[in-house]
Amino acid sequence: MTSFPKGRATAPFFCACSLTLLALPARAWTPYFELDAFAHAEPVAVHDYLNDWKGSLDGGSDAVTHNRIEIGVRNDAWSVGYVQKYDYEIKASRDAAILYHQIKNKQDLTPGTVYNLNLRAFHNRSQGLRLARRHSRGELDIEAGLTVLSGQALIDGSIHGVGSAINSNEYAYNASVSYHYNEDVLFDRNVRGPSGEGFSLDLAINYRFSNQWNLALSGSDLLGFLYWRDAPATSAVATSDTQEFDADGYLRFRPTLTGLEFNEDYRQRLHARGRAALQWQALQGTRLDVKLRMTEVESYPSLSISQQLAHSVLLDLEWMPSLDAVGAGLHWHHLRLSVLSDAWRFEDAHVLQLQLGWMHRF
Amino acid sequence: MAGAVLALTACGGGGGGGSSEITIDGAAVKGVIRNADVLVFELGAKSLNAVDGKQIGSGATGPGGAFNNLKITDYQGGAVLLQVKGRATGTEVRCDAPAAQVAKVCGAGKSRGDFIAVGPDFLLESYLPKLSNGSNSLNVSALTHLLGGLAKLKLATLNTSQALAQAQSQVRSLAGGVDVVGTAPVDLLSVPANATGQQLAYSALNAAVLSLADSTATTPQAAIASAVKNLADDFADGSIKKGKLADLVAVAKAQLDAAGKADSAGVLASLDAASQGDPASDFKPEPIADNAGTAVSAAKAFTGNLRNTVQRYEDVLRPDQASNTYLAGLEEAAGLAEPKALALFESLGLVVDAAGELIDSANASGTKTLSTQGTGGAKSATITKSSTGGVTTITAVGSVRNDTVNLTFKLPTDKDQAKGATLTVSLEGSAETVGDSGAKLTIASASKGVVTLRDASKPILSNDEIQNDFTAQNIKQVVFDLDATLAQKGSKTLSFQGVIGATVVRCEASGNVCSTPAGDVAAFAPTRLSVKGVVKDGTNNEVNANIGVTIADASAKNFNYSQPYSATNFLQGTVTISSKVKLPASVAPETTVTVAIDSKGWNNARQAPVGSVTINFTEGSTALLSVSGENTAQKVDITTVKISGNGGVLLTLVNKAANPAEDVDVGGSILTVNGVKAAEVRQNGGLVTLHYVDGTFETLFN
Repeated sequence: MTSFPKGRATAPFFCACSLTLLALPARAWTPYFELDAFAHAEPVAVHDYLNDWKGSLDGGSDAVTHNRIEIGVRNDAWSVGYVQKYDYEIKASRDAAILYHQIKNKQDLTPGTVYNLNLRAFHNRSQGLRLARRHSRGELDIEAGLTVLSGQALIDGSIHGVGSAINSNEYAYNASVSYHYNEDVLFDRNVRGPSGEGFSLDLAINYRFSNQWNLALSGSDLLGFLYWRDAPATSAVATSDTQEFDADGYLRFRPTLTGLEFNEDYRQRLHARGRAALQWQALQGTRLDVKLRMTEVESYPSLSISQQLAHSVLLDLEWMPSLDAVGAGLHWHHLRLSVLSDAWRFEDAHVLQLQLGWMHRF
Repeated sequence: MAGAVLALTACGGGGGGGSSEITIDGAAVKGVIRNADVLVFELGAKSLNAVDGKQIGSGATGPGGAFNNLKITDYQGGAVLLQVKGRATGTEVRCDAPAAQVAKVCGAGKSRGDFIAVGPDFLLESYLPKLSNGSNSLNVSALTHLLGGLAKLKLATLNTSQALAQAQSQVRSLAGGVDVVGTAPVDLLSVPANATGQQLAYSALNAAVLSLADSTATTPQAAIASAVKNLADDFADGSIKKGKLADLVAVAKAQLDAAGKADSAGVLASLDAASQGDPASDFKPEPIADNAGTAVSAAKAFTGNLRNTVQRYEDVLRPDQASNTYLAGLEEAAGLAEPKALALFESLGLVVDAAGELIDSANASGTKTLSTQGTGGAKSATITKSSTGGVTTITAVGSVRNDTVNLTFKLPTDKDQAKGATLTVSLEGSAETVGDSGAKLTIASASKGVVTLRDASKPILSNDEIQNDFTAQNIKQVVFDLDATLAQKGSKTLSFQGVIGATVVRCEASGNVCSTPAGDVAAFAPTRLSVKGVVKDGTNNEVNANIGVTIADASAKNFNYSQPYSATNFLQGTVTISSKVKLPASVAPETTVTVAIDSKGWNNARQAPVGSVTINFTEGSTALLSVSGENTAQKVDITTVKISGNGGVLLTLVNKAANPAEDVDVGGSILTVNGVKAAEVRQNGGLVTLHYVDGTFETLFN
């Protein structure tokens, strides 16, 4: 069972929410549940990305996963929900992906090859309370939400450097790393996870041009920060050029890795993401959508067609051409379920998407 | 005139003192102690008592408990005691006791925040191992008072400065990493706006100590004294019951809450986490060194020496793979201790192989190897000789009859020469042999002899002939020395000049079986063999090798070679190798490496030796490192290796791997300086890093 979010900033917010709700007109409140899970790994399959990159190396070098669960109640104007978020983004240079894959798979290096090693990692896991207000004017619907967050996990930092293969199994390198974290995945520092509080703003706009055309835009974490107290951090420099001569003229060896571990208050900017859909009601019961899922790492366009099969039963088919991924979804009364992948087997999939929604209407 | 000189001298003295003025700043808080005397003493080498020291400064606490710019005079560099003493009148202590103790400690009718008058019996102390020129921060609290109590327990083995350094680090660890002497505690009843998280946590713990006061205490002094004593008693061995720590932290948290402050530095949270678990179990924190102190500097210098030594002698110490680091080297070195049967000679061969590696290290382009293969092992112990024209030729010395041993210096570049080739060496002095009727056989006419080193399969004399000369009864000792020059084919010359000595051959079979060669199962064992000499190559790089094998009296240990090795039948002894390595001048100064192996037992199940091994490195005249490991019959694999260096640095590598014979996991190992933790080892896969208490880290090995 998920615990109530901790943090001093959350408590007054919750009180404020409660007071606000009490003051609201007594409209019908309905419970709802939403789940949106998306994962994409370019260089290897998602499964391999999480398991030492043992699969074959494909194109690209980035990886993204955004996962969000929200459960709450809403009426025509307001919604209050509990939110859990798990986001991970890794943006790396292609050379970094190639070298990492070669090392992990013990492949021979090509002597003389130079690798530009650049990697940016972002991770945030948090939970919180979301209060949203919906407003309609004519054909325009706008919903703005504020989520007060309690941080649970943090990774934010980068690696920059250059490597070069000396021979088939030896390489020279010069790189620096700097990152904040709640768990030291690089150097195994034993740390207490920092506490963090913050907020996030989201916005959704729906505009119906005509009976046939509709535009839906939504953005999450459009402005969002987590303020971590005493966040563990490490900065380090690694080099294979370690030989030097001391004052006596003797050969000495510097360490291949040096660094500093420290704690500091840290403001983590949450990475925004959004979705857009241009919808065309082609026929009665048939709708064509042009969609775009956007992250700060990559954007994913797709096409979908929806066909009403019966009263309260709708079937979606979706194609994501840039990844050769296809998906299917089913709307049944108040339940929505859709999945998307580029492979039948989970182990082979580079992209995975699962969406589940439910809203009870009394 | 004399007066003028004195005046000038006085001026000069004053001017000199001004350039290195020593002052002390601090605060006395238990709560705030105001209008108290402050006395500073320089302590003697073995006492923490003021009466054994010399007063070097004085002052008084102000309204907020602070004392600033307290001048020190005639300081000679020793440890320092600072006392805060109550006066007959005027000294007051602010009541900051936990709510439950207010009435008991501060008196009936008193409240938290009230000032209570105390008298001359009020005393709190603080210490520093050494003062620096300029300003020194020396604060006083219940925890600094505790420091003195702990240090006194250490005086039996340490001097005052060492004892205080250890105690200071111990209390630091108890206080969640806060330097209780250097950090100023604050008044929790009137918290300064700029108070840091560490100051707040320290002050809360300082106040919480009073919760440990005896129930019979009725004055602040008695309460503080009993509370500190109770804490000191519990923490005397460096550990504290988790239950008591949890209670202490809970009170400290309440103190912070009462002050409206948070544990922003996480000090109390970390102690709270440490106190989880069985309340009756011990929390034993590692003493933590002063971040800015010399301990970390000494530790870093040590690590540099270690890294350089490993790099320079990588072939010797890291024969397998880099990640195995020293352990792999030591496992191999431990193998040198294997005294199985006449594999003693094999062991010696390994030692000499190690010397060969050193030679290789001396000249990276060479392929020279010094080896005693053929010295013993499976083949052993026929003494062969020939005598022509008054000159006796001895081939080898072994330890068991009916086998042959030869001494061959086998050089990789000398393969064509080794078999059947004759290397002539001069036999300096007189060789001793044993005659039928006596203990010695003397080579009658030779002041110089010839030792022929040749293939083992071609003994010069037959066994029968040897047996006529040497029997079990009369062979007690054979010693031969040689001074050899080995010329190898090709343009490069490698030479050995030195002495080989052997003290061998003892019959250990029960009864008189040794007297009858036929069917004899007599056991013989070497008791000593040594090689001492110099090897030079064409570029005059030089290795001085002094290799010795010394075995305790095998007969006294009831060792019987003809019986299987067991825990009760093993060959005891020590193997030592001392090699002086002259690396190219651009690499390192001349280095002496000494390996000592002490064979102490035998593990039947693993068929493995039990004992200890120590490797010492000295560069020039500077001792760098000492590496030691030991195994036991119960714990056959060497899982703990200690590497010590200058300045009291000790790195204790503990291999936690489930299968230490195959894997290495030294994460969590500790580096200490004079017993105080200065760094910790972490291992993440093959990456082994050393993390110092000042937050910096570096790879332990490249």
